[in-house]
Amino acid sequence: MSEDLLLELRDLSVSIVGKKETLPIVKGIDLHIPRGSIVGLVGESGCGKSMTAKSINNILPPFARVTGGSIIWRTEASGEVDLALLKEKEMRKKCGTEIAMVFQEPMTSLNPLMQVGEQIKEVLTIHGVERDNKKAKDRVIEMLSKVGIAEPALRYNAWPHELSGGMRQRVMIAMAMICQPKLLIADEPTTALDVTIEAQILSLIKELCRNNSMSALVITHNMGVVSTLCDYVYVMYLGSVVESAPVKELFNNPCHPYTRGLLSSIPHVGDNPEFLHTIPGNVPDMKKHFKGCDFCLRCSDDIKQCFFEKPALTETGAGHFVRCHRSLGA
Amino acid sequence: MSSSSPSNKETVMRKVPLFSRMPILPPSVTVPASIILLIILLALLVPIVSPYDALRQNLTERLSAPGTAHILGTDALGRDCFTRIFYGTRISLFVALIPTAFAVLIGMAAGIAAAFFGKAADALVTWLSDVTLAFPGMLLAMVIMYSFGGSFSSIVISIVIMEWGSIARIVRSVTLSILENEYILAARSIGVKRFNIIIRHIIPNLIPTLIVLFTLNIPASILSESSLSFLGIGIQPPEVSLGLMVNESRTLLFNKPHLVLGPAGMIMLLVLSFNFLGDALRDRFDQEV
Repeated sequence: MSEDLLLELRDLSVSIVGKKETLPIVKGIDLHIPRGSIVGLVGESGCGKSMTAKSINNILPPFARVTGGSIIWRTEASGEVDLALLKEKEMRKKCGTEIAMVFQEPMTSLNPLMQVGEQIKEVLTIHGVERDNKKAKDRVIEMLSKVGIAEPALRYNAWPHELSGGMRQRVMIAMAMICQPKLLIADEPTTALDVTIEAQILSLIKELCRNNSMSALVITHNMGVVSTLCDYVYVMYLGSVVESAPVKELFNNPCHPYTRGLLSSIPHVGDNPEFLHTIPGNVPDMKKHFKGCDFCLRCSDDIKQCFFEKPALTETGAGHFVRCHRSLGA
Repeated sequence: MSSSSPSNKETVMRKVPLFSRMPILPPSVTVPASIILLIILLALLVPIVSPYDALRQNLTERLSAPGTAHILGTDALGRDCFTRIFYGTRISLFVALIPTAFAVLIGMAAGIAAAFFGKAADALVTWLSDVTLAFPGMLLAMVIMYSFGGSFSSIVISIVIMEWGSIARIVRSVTLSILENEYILAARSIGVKRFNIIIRHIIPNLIPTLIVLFTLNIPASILSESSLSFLGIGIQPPEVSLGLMVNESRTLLFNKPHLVLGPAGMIMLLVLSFNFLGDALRDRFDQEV
């Protein structure tokens, strides 16, 4: 089983390290990405999903640090490597060639003073994949047409401001894909785009993954994105995984009340339009330590036990893990 | 996708003439820029244009009034004042360009280092610039001039030391805001090395700021050199400098005011032109960047 895993986060913790105190923002999560599969990471703003992703290729902001656990990266070429222990220099070599990332904001993710083709070519040249300038340019143009940009030879010389949001995100994907990485991390890749472009970008990511036997970690707060794109889903709440399941199982049989809340928050045509379902309450203060379940104050199904004891992540079905006292039949 | 349509459009794009893509500059840029260009031209051509030598004394014609032979008259040693002004302008222009360029380069390097290489570098650069900014500029320059002697290179050094601190601070803050952009994160995520991030992603985005800082610091450089020369610790006679000319004729201020007003007016014209150009460029870049 573990041989098939491309990436395995083991008990990973990320904290904001201050002068006086350290504030855990990712609290020991386990996450598996099998080869060739698309894994979703869902949760509300500030639950630590972006921090988890950024810890993988070590682009955490200066105030945050990996404080525990390991990030096991398995490839045929280099065997098992713990990315958390890699030196900056070696990590930068893996970035772009083995692990690539697509960001949320296509508007600011491109340098406004570089032509988009040159920016994509930069990936090839800095890793020495293609030293010949003409060949590198041809590869970039080929990649641009693969991500569905019309007239790629002409767009090679375009400046970022000349492209629309959807086109820029395609450029970002081209940039991420050009070295044929094994893992694509997409941090809310469609949040800034409208729904028609969103559908196009999602099917593009899916198609590229299938064709290149690439794995992907998709970070989103949009359950619709998860259902169209992912094979397996992790639901995060306040820095820990509360439920993980294959995508169909999660949508058919959500066990954690937080997951149920997220799913019922999706408005459907024909619902009573005056009432949108929400999860009551706010995300609790991360600075306060609470011995019970982190979700119990917002939970509609809470029992006495929830206030005194943290539930453990337990397998309730095939590949379906839940962190809830209720689902354990307590 | 048909192969003919992209190549067609490409040729269409290339046919656009260069000049039509250049922005039309407002008079706030063109007027001071053309004055500066005119002064530079005259300063370069003065040996050809003027029949007089800046250093040659002619005691029979000393203190002659402005007229057809000498446009601005002659000084106490019979040297043509108009010619000397443009020779002095050469020093002013040199001081305007070279030490300011050094100051901008050093300030840029220090500012990027402060923003990019962590807390220790930041603390060091900020502390050093605080120290240089804590002293009044002229005082610092005078100390340097006295300790290194009144040579030309010590003028350059003192101007660089006077100006690099404030440039470094501005570059530091602009770099910090550039670093906030996601394309820097994106560059790191594709494995771009730190050095290349600076060269390819930070410096190109700093260039508008650097141009404005350069033009806005030129007047300060010109004034520093003139002041030092006026005080007698800058350019030494028989070399020609605008500040020195003002100093040499200051006792004649009430009898022969043109001898002071000539070089002083040239200092004012240079300083104001560069100042207005810098302001106009800053307004323009602020709008666009």
